[in-house]
Amino acid sequence: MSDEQSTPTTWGSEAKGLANRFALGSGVAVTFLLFGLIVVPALLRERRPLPRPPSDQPAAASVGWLDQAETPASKGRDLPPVDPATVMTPNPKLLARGEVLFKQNCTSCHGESGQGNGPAAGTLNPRPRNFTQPADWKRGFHVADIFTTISTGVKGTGMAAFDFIMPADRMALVHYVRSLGGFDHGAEDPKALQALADQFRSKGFHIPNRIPVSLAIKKMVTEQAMVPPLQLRPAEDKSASAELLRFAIVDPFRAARTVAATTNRGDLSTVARAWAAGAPDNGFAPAAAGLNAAEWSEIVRALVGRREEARQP
Amino acid sequence: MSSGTFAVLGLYSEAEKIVDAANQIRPHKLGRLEAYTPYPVHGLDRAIGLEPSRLGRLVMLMGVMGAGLALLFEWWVSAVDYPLVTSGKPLFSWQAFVPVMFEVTVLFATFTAGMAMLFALNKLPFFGHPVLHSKAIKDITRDKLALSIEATSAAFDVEAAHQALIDSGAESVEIVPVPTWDRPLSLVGLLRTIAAIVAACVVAGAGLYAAEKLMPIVPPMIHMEDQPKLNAFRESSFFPDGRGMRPAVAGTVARGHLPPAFATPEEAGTLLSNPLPLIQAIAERGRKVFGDHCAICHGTVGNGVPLLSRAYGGKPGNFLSNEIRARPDGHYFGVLMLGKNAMPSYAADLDNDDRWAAVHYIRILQRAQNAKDEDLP
Ligand code: HEC
Ligand code: HEC
Repeated sequence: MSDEQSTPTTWGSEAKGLANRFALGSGVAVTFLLFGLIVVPALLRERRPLPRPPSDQPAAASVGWLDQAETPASKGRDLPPVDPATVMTPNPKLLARGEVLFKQNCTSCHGESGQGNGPAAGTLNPRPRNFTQPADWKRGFHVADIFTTISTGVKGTGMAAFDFIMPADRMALVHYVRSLGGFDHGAEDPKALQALADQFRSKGFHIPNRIPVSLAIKKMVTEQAMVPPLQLRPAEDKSASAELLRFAIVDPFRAARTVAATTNRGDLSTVARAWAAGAPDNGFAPAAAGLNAAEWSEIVRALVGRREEARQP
Repeated sequence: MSSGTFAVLGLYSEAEKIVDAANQIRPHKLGRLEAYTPYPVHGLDRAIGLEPSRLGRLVMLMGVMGAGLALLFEWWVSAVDYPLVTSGKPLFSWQAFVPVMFEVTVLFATFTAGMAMLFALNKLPFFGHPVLHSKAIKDITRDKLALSIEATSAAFDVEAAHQALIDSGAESVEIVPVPTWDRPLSLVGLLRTIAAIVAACVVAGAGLYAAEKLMPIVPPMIHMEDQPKLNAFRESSFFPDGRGMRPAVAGTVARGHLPPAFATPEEAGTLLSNPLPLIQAIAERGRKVFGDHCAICHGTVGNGVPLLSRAYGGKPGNFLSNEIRARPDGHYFGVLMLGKNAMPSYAADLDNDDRWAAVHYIRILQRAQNAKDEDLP
């Protein structure tokens, strides 16, 4: 009796096999269906071209648009002069603009309400001005005064020059700053106002050329003048100045750059102090700081002299 | 009588014989055939009528189901229920779902394989298999092969099974009775087990406690936080000055920590020049340093608009302003060493070459945002 004959296929086992295959097949079908209904439509939707804003830029320049540093080059342009009538006196639009700019640029030091208590104020000496009271103003709180303060900053304090803000916007800031103080700002000096108005009328605002940072790198790298390394006197040269140079210079490449950058730095001792201050990154040995004035002047004379020699072929 | 019988066992001493016997007995359909052999015997599985395992198909089915469910779940979560744009990609980015789908597939498949094999196909748990208590088990585990006809119904015919095994050439035949002991998974058994575990824990815990407290030879448990060491910013009773952090030996400085030779950025501006040549590699290094450390506050293009504007209270300098552009390289370096107002010092975080590279990069940014006419492409 052979194996196959002993197990005749019955309807039961046939049906079971069919059921098994059906289960397997439907599992696979369900998967395909899932992909078909979800993945494929999604892919098709992705394929659909996005509407692109019309652009005159070459295609290559639009690559990397997410990186601010790589935005396409743009030519600078001059904004037309401001009409003084629109900015010399406060109006609601100007004040609203001023508030936005103040929040962006000034609140970190001068505080939300101009009381000079912003988050960064604690680190500053002198402290930022409190705009809500009339005391302590150094440059005055008249329109032209504040405009000057914003445009040029206050040297030696945390108050930087905000000259990169457009003049009309600076005026918006002026009016907003004044609106923060509830005190009497007194009468304006008509001459100063006239001068300011003339300044607005006469000069526009220049927006500079912009290029992607990678291009700027290329430009500056190619413009860079390579400085040949300093030729230290050969070891056989046992003269005092040769010994000094070998002692004081650890990196002739960097030292050469340092020497080349030294122009009009005053007398020998100033130059020596500068070179010692940058050691060791500038190619000079830190130990050279311990040399005495005579030794330094010898080094400076030797190096600067040599540079002059090198200049004249 | 048959209700008390688990199986009838026949012993053989040769592999061919047991295969032949199985082939001979199977068509009679006396009961479920099972074989116990000390080593694998080829063809025996088919001879006792064992079908190919259904496990593979089951695993396949469940794996496919896992993948489908995971996909469905991720689609629902990230495209329907809580649509969240990630990295500017479409909501339904199935490529990103594949890892989770894979994991769930594997999870479903392995659990199915393990559980189905143990519980569904092998019908475990099965404590105290009756054959283990048969007389024949000694021989089975040595050199004999056993064929058993298991009672699958009340109509099991012990006599016929006995006869069939003898007819097929079994050397000896044994009737294995159904075990008579209590089912071990009874409530009482379970309670006893739990009680035993609890008792063991109590005894072990009490013993350890006693060992730690009463016997001085066992060192006390050492907690991770009481390590005999010096913490830099903690006081310490070890040194007379009560400080954990040691000051440098008088007249020395740590390597690479030469104190700056300037007191203010302005002074640095008059003293220092950038010693690094502006080559491509330095520019890239500067770009990296700036991107890693500075852009967060100074903005990608250095215009002082912080990337984290809401979180950061300070107003970083605008490198593009005329005021800052006019400052010498050394001034920037000085700011990096000493800090300036809300600008933190980078003396501890960068090395000097990184700082000088960053200074170069600031100049590059200034050029990029203030380019000459001939730079325009
Ligand atoms: C980095 C911090 C800082 C930021 C940002 C800042 N200021 Fe100041 N500001 C100061 C400090 C510090 C003073 C005080 C200077 C002094 O006492 O000489 C000051 C003073 C002033 C004064 C008064 C000068 C005077 O006459 O005494 C004005 C007006 C002013 N800031 C306007 C602004 C405006 C407008 C902005 C935003 C565009 C701004 N500041 C952003 C720190 C800051
Ligand atoms: C935590 C934010 C923050 C980070 C990070 C930061 N800066 Fe600054 N930085 C500032 C602030 C705020 C100022 C303005 C300080 C002032 O003038 O009151 C500033 C000013 C500067 C200045 C001085 C400009 C001037 O007025 O002379 C330079 C240069 C500078 N940062 C360079 C860097 C470099 C390079 C890095 C990266 C290594 C860096 N900063 C990282 C916040 C930051």
